[in-house]
Amino acid sequence: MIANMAIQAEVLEKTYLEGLTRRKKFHALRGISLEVPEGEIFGLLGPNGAGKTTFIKILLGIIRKSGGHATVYGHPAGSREARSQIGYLPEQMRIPKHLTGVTALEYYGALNGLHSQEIRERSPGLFEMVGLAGRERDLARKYSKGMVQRLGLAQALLHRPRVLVLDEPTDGLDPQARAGMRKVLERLRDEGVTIFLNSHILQEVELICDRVAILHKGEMRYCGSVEDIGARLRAENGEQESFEVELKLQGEANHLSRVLEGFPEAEVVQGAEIQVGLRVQDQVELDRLVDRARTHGFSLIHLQRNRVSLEDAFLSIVGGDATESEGAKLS
Amino acid sequence: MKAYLAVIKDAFRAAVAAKLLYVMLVLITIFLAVLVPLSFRSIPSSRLRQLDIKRPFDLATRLYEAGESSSNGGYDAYIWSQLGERTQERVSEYFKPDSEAKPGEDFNRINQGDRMNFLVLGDLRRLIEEPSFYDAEVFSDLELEEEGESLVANVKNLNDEEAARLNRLLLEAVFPLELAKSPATGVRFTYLGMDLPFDNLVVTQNELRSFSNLTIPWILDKLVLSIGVLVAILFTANMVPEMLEPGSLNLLLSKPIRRWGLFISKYLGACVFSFLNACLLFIGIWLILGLRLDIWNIAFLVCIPIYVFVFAIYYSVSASVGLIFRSPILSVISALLFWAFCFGMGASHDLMSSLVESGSPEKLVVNHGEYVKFDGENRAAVLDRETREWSTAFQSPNMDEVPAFVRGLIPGSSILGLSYDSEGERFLGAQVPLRELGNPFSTSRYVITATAKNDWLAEQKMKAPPLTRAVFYDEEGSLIFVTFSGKVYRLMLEEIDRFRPQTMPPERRLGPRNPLESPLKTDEDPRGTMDYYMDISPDSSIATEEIELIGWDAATKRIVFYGNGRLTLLKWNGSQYEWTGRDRYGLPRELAGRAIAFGGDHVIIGVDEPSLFTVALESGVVTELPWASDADVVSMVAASDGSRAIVLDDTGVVWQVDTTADVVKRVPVRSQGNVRAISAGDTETFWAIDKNSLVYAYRWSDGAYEKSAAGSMSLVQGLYTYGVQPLYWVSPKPGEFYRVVTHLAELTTPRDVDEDEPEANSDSPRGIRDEQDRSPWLPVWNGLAFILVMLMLAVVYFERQDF
Repeated sequence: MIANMAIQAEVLEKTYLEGLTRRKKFHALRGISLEVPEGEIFGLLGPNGAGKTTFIKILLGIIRKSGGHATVYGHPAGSREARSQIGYLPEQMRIPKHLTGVTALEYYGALNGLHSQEIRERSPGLFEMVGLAGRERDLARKYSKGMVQRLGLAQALLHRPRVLVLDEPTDGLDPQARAGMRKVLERLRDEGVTIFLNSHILQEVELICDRVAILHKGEMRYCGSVEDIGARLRAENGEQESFEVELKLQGEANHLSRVLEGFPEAEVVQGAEIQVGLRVQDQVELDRLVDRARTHGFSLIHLQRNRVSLEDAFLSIVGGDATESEGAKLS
Repeated sequence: MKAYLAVIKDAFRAAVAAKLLYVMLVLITIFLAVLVPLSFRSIPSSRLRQLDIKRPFDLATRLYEAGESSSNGGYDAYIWSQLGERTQERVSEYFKPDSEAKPGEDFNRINQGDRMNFLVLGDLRRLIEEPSFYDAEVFSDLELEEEGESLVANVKNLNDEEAARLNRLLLEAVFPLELAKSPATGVRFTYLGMDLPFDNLVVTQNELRSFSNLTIPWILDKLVLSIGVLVAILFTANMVPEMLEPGSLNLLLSKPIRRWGLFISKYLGACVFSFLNACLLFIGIWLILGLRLDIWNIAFLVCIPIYVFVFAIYYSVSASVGLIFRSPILSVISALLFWAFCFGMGASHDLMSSLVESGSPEKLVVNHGEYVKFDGENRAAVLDRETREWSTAFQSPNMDEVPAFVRGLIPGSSILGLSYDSEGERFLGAQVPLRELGNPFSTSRYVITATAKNDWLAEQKMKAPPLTRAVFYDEEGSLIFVTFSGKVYRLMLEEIDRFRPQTMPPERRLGPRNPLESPLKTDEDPRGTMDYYMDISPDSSIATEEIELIGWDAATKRIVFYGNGRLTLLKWNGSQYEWTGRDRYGLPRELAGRAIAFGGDHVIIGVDEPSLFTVALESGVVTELPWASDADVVSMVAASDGSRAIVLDDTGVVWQVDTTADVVKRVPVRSQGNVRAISAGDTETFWAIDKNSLVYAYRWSDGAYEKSAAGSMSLVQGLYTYGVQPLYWVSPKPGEFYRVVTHLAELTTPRDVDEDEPEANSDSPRGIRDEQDRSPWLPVWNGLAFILVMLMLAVVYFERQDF
């Protein structure tokens, strides 16, 4: 249903003409199609130059698309109606030096068409929420990078948008603030706000996003849930559905070799407990392994089934290009 | 709308936060604090200006007669006795009956008169300042007005200023016709309560008004406005580039507002900032001038929108450049470059227009198919009918040794009665010799001739009669000379041929000859000057003031004089001129004459006010013509039968007068509005020359185009007409807004004209008016158009750009 779709993009394209004669073409987006339903936290991933920012700028009308179609709640992307549905936190948020927290909200609220009265009523709650209460009357130029980012989030939420577009929202935040930001975003999702975020911090995305899209060189390489990404990758690679497990056992170490027969790649760490890491083909094989351990007098203290991490998936999808360009950020 | 107001408010907030407002406030406050102590006080008016002596010669005559009369009584005699000895000597010398007066001494007499009047003025000023001037016995019977009576009643207790005022009133009462009445009070400027020690700063209310209308707007424009705008531009240059910083711009563009609205709001925000500064500054100045000097001129408040407007012009450049290049430094540099461009444009326009104006024709003579034009510097040129080019004419023969480019810069000298003698194939006239050009009192002229064979160089012949005012060519083979004093002389052309000048021997020359030096040693002329001329003056003389304009009808050799509202007709009886009481015609009012044309039975007179009159000589009927123009008449020519006349006004517009129907109408000549001079042609046509020196003939009957004698533009004229002038017209003129303020000041200030008080600078120019004078609002329209274009370009860029 279109009505429930917060963001829709169909074969979206952006081509920049470069050079003095403007004959050289650079394809920033090559036919991107995606849908973000209402109330979802959606992450947009990709190495530098993948087209993430271009996609966001088209949604916000900062640049014009070269082809395709994009809408925000049914309104053409970039239209004033579409922009009025969006709260936006830019990547390097800058607040003019002469504004304080309060006057910044007054200014940006008015730009969103809010009355001063509404702004005055909503501001204290927002300052509280982003953790700027008590510092709201300070000049923004005295704020740390994280505080500016939080003020940016407050201004993005001020007009109660249905879609929140966040460009690197946790960049520059300390771990505690990140956790706070995550909570805010989850609460907003629960309130029905659609969150579209673009982040380099993949663990952050993995923790918070319902679905992600991975862009590479202007093309979309993956769009789906974080959980499905491993299976999808294996399917794409034609691999069987094996998975890694981690076991913690207690028992006679001499008997361990019998238990691990047929698992030559198993990694064993012996201590008070015996830690074993290995890959099984399926659940039946895992059940057989557990039965064999019990038969040989081992007690099963802990069993964990490991899935494919987003980072693995990302690196697998974007390949060496990303490792080169993103290596520093991913490490 | 809320969103855009927020942007404006933010721009202003940014200015306040950057302490710009405070800096501006401090600067403005210092400026106002310097102005505050300036004030004035009313003092009894006693200053006698040269303008206040309306009839200096009458005044001197009365004093002289009082001095000469045997009786010692009377006010005049008392005042005579109070004059200094040197003044008395000068006056006596001037009026001493001189039985040996020769025409050649008239010039000395004018000089003497000026010196005498200067001395009388100085002595009267001294008498006014002397407290002892009032003598109760002498002035006991003098009738004074109320103010004078009350001063006399209190004469023993008068302070110096009041005594001077009484003396001035006494002089006015003694010489009611000769001296202007002064207003009761004058104004003396003070600073910190002390009189400023400049007597010239004691002014009348009218002068104060003129100061407030003309000088103050100029100071405001050139000083306050220019500096203020520059400072404001420096302070606001960062506004737009700051908005375009990535983290800031993306956020702004993501908001549901229009891009053009965002840019325009930023622009207006800066204008609001400058508006507040302007309010403070100009309301401050207005209050100070009002409270301290009593100049409550609302036009100063007009400076507020004008200041903002000038700022808006500069800022439209600065903001647009800031938008495109995102650099505050480039913003400021662009504003400065734009200022330099405007300044350069204005300066080059002024320079070139003065060059063109000085080279553009002011007089046209068409005679027997030869065309001669004179420019504002009296440089003459003859049209070569084959090449249709103008070539320099009537210069001194020495000029052929001077390089051409220098020759073009040397002013010419005016030629009276230039006409073409078709039999002798030469031009004739009376020219001021070049070496006399620097002498303002010089009235000496020489008869000149010029032929094509001799490259139209002026050959100097005999001296013209002294004080020659007009020269006419008589087809019967003579030149008629009319002098300032109404004398008429005739010079037969064969006398010119007989004249043999004695030239300086060439061996006495050392190096190149001075082009201004006459080649003749005219003093060595074996015959006396007047031996060449026949005196054909009428027996009865005419007062000089009645010879303001002189008209000539070639067909009947009649001459008319106009002056003081009277027209006098001099008829030729075959041997001399004569006139009787029947030949005098009175206009309904005494109006100063501007131009006269004479043809057939009609004389057409253009006078001040402005109005046109026709005088039908036969019937004596004087008719005021309905002329729907407030422009002054510059020149007139009449058809030989007198049925039509053509009038050129000072806006360059040509009118036709139909004397048979007493109708005046505009005629459809080419370059209407740009015509610079006209000339009577034959019975069918008249000629007009435009500012580009193109000459066309038109029909007398309807003003329709008949033919062209062409002529061509000079390089400077072409460059000016097709390059500099159009560019100047479309380019903004932020430095010329004082014109608007002056215009409004003159409109809004009530003019309670005191007729007895002569106006300072009342002389209006007699030539074609400068075009700028006609449109004080031009800077506004230009500026508005410029702002719109700049903002439109900036907005189109902003709307189309991906960020």
